[in-house]
Amino acid sequence: MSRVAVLKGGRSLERQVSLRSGARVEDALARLGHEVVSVDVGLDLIRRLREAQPDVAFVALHGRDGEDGTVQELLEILDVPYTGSGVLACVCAMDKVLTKHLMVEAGIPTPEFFAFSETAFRDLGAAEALPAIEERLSFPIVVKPSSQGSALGVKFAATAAEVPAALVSAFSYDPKVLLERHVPGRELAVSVLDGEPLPVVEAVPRDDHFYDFESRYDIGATDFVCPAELPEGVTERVQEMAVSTYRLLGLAGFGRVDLMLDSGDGKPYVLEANPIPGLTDTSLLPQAADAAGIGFDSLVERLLELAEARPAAA
Amino acid sequence: MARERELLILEDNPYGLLRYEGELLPTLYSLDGGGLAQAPGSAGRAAPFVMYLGTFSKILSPGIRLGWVVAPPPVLEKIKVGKQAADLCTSTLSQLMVQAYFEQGHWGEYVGSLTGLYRRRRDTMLDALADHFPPQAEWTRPAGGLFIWATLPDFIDTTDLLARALRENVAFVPGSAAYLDGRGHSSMRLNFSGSNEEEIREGIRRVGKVIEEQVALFGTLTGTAQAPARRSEPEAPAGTEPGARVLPMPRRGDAGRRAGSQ
Repeated sequence: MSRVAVLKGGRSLERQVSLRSGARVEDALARLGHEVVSVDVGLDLIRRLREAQPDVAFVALHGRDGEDGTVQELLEILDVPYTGSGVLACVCAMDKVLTKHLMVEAGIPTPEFFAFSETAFRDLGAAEALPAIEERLSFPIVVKPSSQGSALGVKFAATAAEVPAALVSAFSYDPKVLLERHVPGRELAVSVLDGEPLPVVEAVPRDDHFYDFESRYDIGATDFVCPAELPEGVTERVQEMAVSTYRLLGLAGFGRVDLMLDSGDGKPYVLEANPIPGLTDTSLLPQAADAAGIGFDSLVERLLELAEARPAAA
Repeated sequence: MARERELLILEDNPYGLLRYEGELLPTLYSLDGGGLAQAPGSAGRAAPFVMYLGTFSKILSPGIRLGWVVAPPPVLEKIKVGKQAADLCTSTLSQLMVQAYFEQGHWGEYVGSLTGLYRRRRDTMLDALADHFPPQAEWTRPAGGLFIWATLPDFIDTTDLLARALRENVAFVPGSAAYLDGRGHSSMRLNFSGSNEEEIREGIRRVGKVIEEQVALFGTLTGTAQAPARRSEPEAPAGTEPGARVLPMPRRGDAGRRAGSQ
């Protein structure tokens, strides 16, 4: 039995999701007989952790601060073992632009893209390069902030006229945005547990809508198929790509890699990696674990063991 | 129309008594021949097609969680069954307290003082909007209720704007929440009852700054460089008529006031 501090909530835009992930983890921990210290992450984080003296911290935070390495850095300083990836892996995975550059370098297929900071447009006149980019990527183009999760701020621009407004939206979330070739096709997610891939989940939107923030967390808005029914060899291929991405970024414990299976050329492309995948009852990683015969409680226990077994970073 | 087609209307009227100008508007319930549904505790003639919902949350205290329903007895029966199943009935103690309060007969004066307070806050917000929102924005001048509905240039999505405004510790309700079909994406609902006048001025100033940054960024992206200069003097007439519309005006470029990426 361990004393486990469950870190959840915080001030990120994914606070509500995190609270649901955290509550579900707390229930599981209680069932497993652990002592639960529930921490809604705020100004008193350090004090709470010092007081509670937990054996391990379960990081159930999503988005800014929780998933970008900030909280992990603090846990390192306090010498508290924690679930999931370390600082560097979080920093890389939370930054879609950095992730994509690393993937290109490592030969992992990812949709073609261009990334810009706000200063590029403001100070370097990058707007004049937009037509060239648009020609290269061809419409529709996906515009997204570099750092948000849960599809926040992601827009589709069907024509050149829609690009500026989409950029304004994306810049609302992050000073860095990327324009990406839209890959039409099937949405796949491969969760990875301790370096091993779990069964592939396919997200099938009920109506023709993009899988957005709300449909992600509303039961019934999206159908999930797990294991996804894929053409021969594709399951192995996407699992291999997910594990390569996981290793490339140095993720630990668990992670989820999102891909598109291009209906044009039939090939999979990696969109992004999530260092702390959702753990709510509609989230993909728990579904995938379940399909592999790993119930939620076992999943939580496994993540704790991995956290406690990991040597402290230097 | 309801009579003609025998449609039932559910009238939910939390803000009807908070009126800043002119007479109280008649309720649909009274138009349907019902008596005095708006005054708490009054039982009038029933209206055949309109059921009425009232609440003490806006005229006494939101924390009390009490309201009233005027509806035909068969409907009331069903409501009772549903409510009982949902919350095992409302606290008797708070019901008795509210009853005692309304029996004293001073509730009208209290609503009058609330109305004065909220009118001042509304006017503060209208002034602040005229000072800090860009010339392309327009907004309502509500004669009652607790909200102003502002609409920004079409290229601003208020759901995304909210993410940016939250970093400045200011929140509003994105307009798309008021629609089921995706409209309202560049509108926002601004509440003026919950904050004092100083906070309202500061909040609108901060939201205005964020909007200004987005307008400037859009100008940069489209090459129209419509970076807005702050209105040199507040346009006094702005907001003096219902649905006041501030017309877009040509602005000089202002490179120093573009969006900061921080």
